[in-house]
Order: sequence, then C-alpha cells, then structure tokens
Amino acid sequence: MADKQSGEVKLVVLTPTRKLVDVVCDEVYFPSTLGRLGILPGHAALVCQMGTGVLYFNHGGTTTFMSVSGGVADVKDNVVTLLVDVAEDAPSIDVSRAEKALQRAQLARSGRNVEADIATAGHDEARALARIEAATLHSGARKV
Amino acid sequence: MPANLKDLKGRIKSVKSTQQITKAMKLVSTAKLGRAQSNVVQARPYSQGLSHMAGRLLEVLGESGQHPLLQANESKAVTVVVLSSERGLCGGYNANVSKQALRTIEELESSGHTVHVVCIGKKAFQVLSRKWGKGLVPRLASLEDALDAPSTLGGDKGLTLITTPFDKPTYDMAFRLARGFEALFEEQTIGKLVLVFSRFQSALTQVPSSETVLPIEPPVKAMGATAVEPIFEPSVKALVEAVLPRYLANRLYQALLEAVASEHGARMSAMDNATRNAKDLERKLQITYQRARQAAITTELIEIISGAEAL
Repeated sequence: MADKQSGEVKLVVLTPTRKLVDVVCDEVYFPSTLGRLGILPGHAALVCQMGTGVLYFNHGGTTTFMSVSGGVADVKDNVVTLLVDVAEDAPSIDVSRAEKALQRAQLARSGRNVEADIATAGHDEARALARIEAATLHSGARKV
Repeated sequence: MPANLKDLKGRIKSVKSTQQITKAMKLVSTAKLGRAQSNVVQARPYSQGLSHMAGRLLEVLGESGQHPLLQANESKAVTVVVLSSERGLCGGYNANVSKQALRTIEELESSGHTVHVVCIGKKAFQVLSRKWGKGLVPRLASLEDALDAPSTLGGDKGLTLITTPFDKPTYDMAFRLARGFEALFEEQTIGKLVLVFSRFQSALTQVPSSETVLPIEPPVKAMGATAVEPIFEPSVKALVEAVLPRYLANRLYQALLEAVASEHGARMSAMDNATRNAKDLERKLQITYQRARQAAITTELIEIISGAEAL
C-alpha cells in the first residue's frame, strides 16, 4: 500500500524443458517447503526451496493457476524466478487423469511398508492433489 | 554398343532414385533438427538459472559444508557415458564420438582408472565393443533394468548398452539416470563420471567433447558481489542438497539434447552432400550416355552409307 509506484513483480517460471511464464504481475503465490508464500512488490531478497502445490499470480485483473512441484525459488529486486521440476498450466490439466493418479498413489501408500516407497507415493499424491486443486481453482471455484 | 547404352540407362535410374532418397532424408532431418535445436535453446534459461543458483549457494556455503557430490572420492572406477545415435547415415557423427570416447578411455586407463563404459545409442557401442572391449561380455539393458542393477552402470571394467531409445530425451529419463549415478558415486563405487557426446554448435559443426560431471565442479560464480544477502529458506545447506542433484540431472539432460541435435545436424549435412554427389554423378552419366548414343547413331549411319556406296 505504501509503495504504489513499484506495484509490480516480474515472474519467470522455468522448467528443465522450457520457459513457461514470463509476465509482470501484481502478486505471486507459490508453495515452498515451509508452506505457501506470497510475494508482493518490494519483497526482501529470498532464496527458498519449493514444495508441491498451486502457484498463482494476478495480472491485469485475471488470476492464472498452475500446479508446480519441486525446485528452487529466487526472489530479488521484484523479480521472482522459479526453477521448478514440473509445472502444468491449469487449463491443460486433465482432471480425470489426475484423479486416477491420486487414487493410485493413495493405494500405493497404504499398501507399502518400505519407507522410501511411502515417501514416493506421498509425493505422487501431493502432486496429483496439486493438479486437481489448480484445475478446480481455474474453473472458477475460488476458495484460497 | 546397345548393351552399354542399356547399362548406362540403368545406372542413371538408380542414381536418380538414390538421390531422391537422400533428398527425402535430408528434408526429414531438417525438420527434426529444427525441433531438436529449439529444445536445446528452450532448455537453456533453466540450466543457466540453475548453475547461477548453484554457484551462488556454494559461494555462501563456502568451505564449511562440503557436499559429497563435490568431493573426489577414493574409488578408482570411472564410468564413461557415451552418447551416440541408433542409426547411421549421418556422416562422421558416430565415428567422431567413438574416437573421442576411445581417446578419453585411453587417457583414463593410462592414469590407472578402471573404466566402465555405458553407451546410449548403439553405434558407438558397436565400435567400442570391437576396438576396446574385446574380451568383455557386453551387457544390454533397458533404462529400467540398468537402474535396478547398479552394477551395469559402473564399478568394474565393463561395457553396457542401454537399449531404451534416447532419440527423444525427456527430463525424467535424465533425472533417473542421474540419480543412478549419484547413488553409485555417493557409495563410492565410482569416483568419477565422464560424459562423451557431441556438442551442438550449428547444423554444420558438431564438436565431440568429454566432460567430467561427477564430482561436480562448482559452477563459476557470477561476477560482482551480491549487495544484499538474501534470506535462505529452509537453510543454505538444504538448498544446496536440493540444487546439486538437479544440477547434475540438468547437465545430463542438456548433453542428451545436444547429442540429438548434433545427430540430426550431421545427418542433414551428410544427406545434403550425398544428394549433391548424386546430382554430379547423374550429370556425368547423362553425358556419357548421350555420347554413347551419338556414337551408336554415327556408326549406324556410316554402315548404311558405306553399304549404299558399295552398291
């Protein structure tokens, strides 16, 4: 509120295969390993590890949702650079596939007893949940 | 000489059809090269960002907490990963990569290392099993099998061919492969990981090169001092642990992409040359054919005239 002039944040989302997003927006929210982080203009320099969840940002009155998973975030001088392992734009998410993946992951988690397997299944589950959440948010049911 | 004329006609036809094939192959490679090249270019921002990040984090961390992936270990075993193509007809591409691989292996062996070669793409595998791994029993494994059985990835003197095609490399493949090598390195089964592949410079130039990817050499830090120390969450150490495996996977991925682009580039220029040669050959044959035809007509005319004169 105090800093209306520089009321913009540049967001760059990079995945190993390509640059997915490069926009100027009002605010950015993304999942870190310690919970959801919101970046407003004028945020202090920050480097943090990213978790699995929904990334969203406002620009020009519209909100864009994406599911992201794993990586590193770099915030500096009103530029947010996200180096993510996987990112999917909400409109391109196939919800039925994500739901199937979720079921599979839940089944795998309950069936396994090796610690590493449970961790993997839990990770898959989180990923599927993030995709479903991003897709539902995109289709209008905003409940963040 | 009617028989000769017929032969010539046959040859012209065959040269023409060869030319058609090479031309088609060139067009296909051109299209594939375009895609492969854009993959390489599009993957660049991420890898630049990542190496920049890794450099920064390691600088902050300093000497205090050395990550195991950064340190050379005791093991004398080295794994050399050779990236080549599945198919030929791409000029000197595979030969150059194989030559580079042989040179690298020789260097490593003369400095007392035990070399295990993992081939991706069977062309270099064929050359290496003939020229280097004569007494060895080569192992063939799909990517999954190779990851399940770490001994196929290194530790002893051996030769492995990964049969899973890598003509369209995905990051997932690179990541899993990197994890496999990482595990071997961390348990000190291997002390070094070297990549041999063809660097893509342009459609016409591909440079075969060898790169040591493990132990990870810290990326050169960005110039200029960072004015404000950023907040690190959860901690610099955790971040380094998150970044380094990704850095390794990305190196592998980048190499895979470049190898594919190089292959298509090499094939494109090879096929372009072949088409041009075929064209030259066709023209020469055409001239010979015309001459032979003219000679045949002349002989026939002379025969008729001298026959008429004799009457």
